[in-house]
Amino acid sequence: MRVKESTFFILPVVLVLLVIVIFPLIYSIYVSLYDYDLRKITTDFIGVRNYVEALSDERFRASLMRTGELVLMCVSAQYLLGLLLALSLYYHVDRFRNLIVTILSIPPMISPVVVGYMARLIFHPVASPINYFFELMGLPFRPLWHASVKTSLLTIFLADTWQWTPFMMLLLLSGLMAIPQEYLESARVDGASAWQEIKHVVLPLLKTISVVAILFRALDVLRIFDVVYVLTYGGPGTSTEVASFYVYITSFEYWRIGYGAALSWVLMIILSVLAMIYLKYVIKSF
Amino acid sequence: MHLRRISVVTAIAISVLLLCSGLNYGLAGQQFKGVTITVLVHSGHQAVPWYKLAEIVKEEYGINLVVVESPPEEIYTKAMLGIRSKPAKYDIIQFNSAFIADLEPFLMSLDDFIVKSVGEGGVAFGDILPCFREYQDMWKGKIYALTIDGDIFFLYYRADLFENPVEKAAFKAKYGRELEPPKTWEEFLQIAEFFTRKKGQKLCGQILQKDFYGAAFQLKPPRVFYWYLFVYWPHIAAATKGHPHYFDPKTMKPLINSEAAVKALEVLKKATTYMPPGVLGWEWDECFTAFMKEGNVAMTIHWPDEGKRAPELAPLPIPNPPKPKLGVALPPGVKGPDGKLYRYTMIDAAWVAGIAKNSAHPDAAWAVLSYFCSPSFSLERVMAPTDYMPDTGHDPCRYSHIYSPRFLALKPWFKVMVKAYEEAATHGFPLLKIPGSYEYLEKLATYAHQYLSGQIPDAKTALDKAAAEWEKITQRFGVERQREAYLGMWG
Repeated sequence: MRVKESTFFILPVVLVLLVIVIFPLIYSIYVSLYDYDLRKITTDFIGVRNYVEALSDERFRASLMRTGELVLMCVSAQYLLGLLLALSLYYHVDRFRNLIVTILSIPPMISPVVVGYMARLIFHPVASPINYFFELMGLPFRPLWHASVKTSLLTIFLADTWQWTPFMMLLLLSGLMAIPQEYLESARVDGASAWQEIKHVVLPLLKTISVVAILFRALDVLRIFDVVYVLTYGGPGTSTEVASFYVYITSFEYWRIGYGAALSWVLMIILSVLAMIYLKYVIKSF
Repeated sequence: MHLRRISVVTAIAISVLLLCSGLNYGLAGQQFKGVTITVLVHSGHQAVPWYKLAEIVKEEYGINLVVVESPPEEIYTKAMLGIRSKPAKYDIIQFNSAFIADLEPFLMSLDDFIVKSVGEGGVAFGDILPCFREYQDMWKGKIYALTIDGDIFFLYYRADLFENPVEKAAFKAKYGRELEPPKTWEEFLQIAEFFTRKKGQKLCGQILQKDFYGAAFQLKPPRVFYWYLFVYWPHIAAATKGHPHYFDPKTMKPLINSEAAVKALEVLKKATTYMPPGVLGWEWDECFTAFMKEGNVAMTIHWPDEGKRAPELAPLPIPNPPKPKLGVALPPGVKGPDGKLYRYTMIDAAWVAGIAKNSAHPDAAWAVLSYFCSPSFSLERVMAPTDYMPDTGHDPCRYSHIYSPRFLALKPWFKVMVKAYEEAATHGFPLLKIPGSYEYLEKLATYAHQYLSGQIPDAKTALDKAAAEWEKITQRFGVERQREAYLGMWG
């Protein structure tokens, strides 16, 4: 009787998962084995030819490199800044901590498309307020931001970092607040300085939450699309064409659905392998 | 009693007769009563006239017009999926005519409707400007669509600046000829260089209050291909003595990496040196704002919006500017070795509407489409906003539009556009319209932009890469299939 009841309760979720996750996954494998092009009337089975093309696609490889570059930049900067913010809030802010945390929680709640449009104004090549501040401070640079190949990826990085550093901060702050006070008091009683306390007590205890935070952000950045679409459309040239954007234009601008599915699977396999290596390495070090 | 019975029967008979005649009258006026027609349209202000039409066709024909709005970038997918089904999900689709090759198998040819309907069903097909008629509405010699929005490009220039005596004298002294709107790309570069000045320098004999630029284009990918093609087409026309093409029509070998094509891309790159910083990331808003609202750009090539909104032209950024005045002309051309000037404007693929082959109610769909595209209703659409019609975003596409006394009375500033439209009508060139057209153009845009942004150092390498991609696309679709479509594109 209990088994039947529990089945009844989990059935809706299972159905939803089947329909919106499992079926599309399986169907996309099927589609990737066909020359499925929305512009063609017929569709032919071509086996792994889409995958072979994906592996030899110079533009796809370049987009993967660019995505990797963005992940490294974003995750490192967001982790370090998030950690700095979390430590500052934990150690130095007591009375207004909740208020500050609430305010800092606003950027992650903004839609990435809106962030992209905001970035178009903030990083405008002529009317950028940041360039205006550079001018006021007497600094010689006036970057063209998203309109130059030299600074376009940096602009995406800045927009993403502005939006998601608070998310990193929130995770790390929650990790900090979960540390038993006795550990910190013991360290202080033993004469540890603030830096020693952070290095030898706090950071090791933050390891688990750090792993999760880094993995979450890395997977998010690997999927980045909205800001790129709105701000640069992969340009100038292809300087901000990340992997997910290339998959999008292949599938929904060129209408090569089969090839787009194959690109998605290649991307997924690469990400899964990287995630497995990362987790294996990290768990080994615990 | 007997009389009473006769009176009652007579009254009932008269009532029934009156009811029937009323019904017949109603039916005769509402030919498609109870029929639902679904139309897929561009969302936003472009959908406005369809809602207006829904009221009209309900009253006139009894048709329930269901308007389904879609963002423009999703229209292709929705249209393709919607009209392939039986019956078609959409009876009428608004689409970009660049996709005609992909949509044609699922669209009804309108020739029969036009030829067999009395008065052509009211569409007056011959009234549509030839450039739109041939390059938007027809495919392989048949009519598959009717133009909704006459998207076309013009060269806009600051006539107040070009007519300024101080500037005219300075230009003549420097270049030995009169300052006039450029007829060639060489002249365009000269004029753009001449007018590019820093804040503090002089313009019209007065101190400039901000930096001033010779030109501005909308060069963010993927639409950068438009501005490349404005330069490419006359260059390739001059090189081939008036036979410009995207491909060799016999072999389907791309011509986009020919010597003329390379020269064209180099000209475009040179032009960007006279443009505001960041122009490689500019979309429609930035280009329109810089030319019309900031007033610090001498020339641009853009859609008809600037002409339609001529009163909004900002004064020049000098202390005592002359009254703002807009000039309109065809984009520059190229003088060929034969001495002829090859000058064109691009007929944007833009918005047309057609009827799905699988429509359950093709006659009713034709009633709706022919009304929407009739000279009278379309005049109100392109004149909007007016008291009758809110803004629609639709541009003129008929002779009856550009010569309409009502249009010119309501919007007298449009007079400046009439001559340009007359020239454009017979000097247009179409966007590529073969299967995969968007992919061809997007790939061209990618590599052209890589050169313009400095990612690829030379134009030949960039265009060779684009040509290689074009070959791959052609092979994927089939050379002969693409060749047949390419020839069909030209009628």
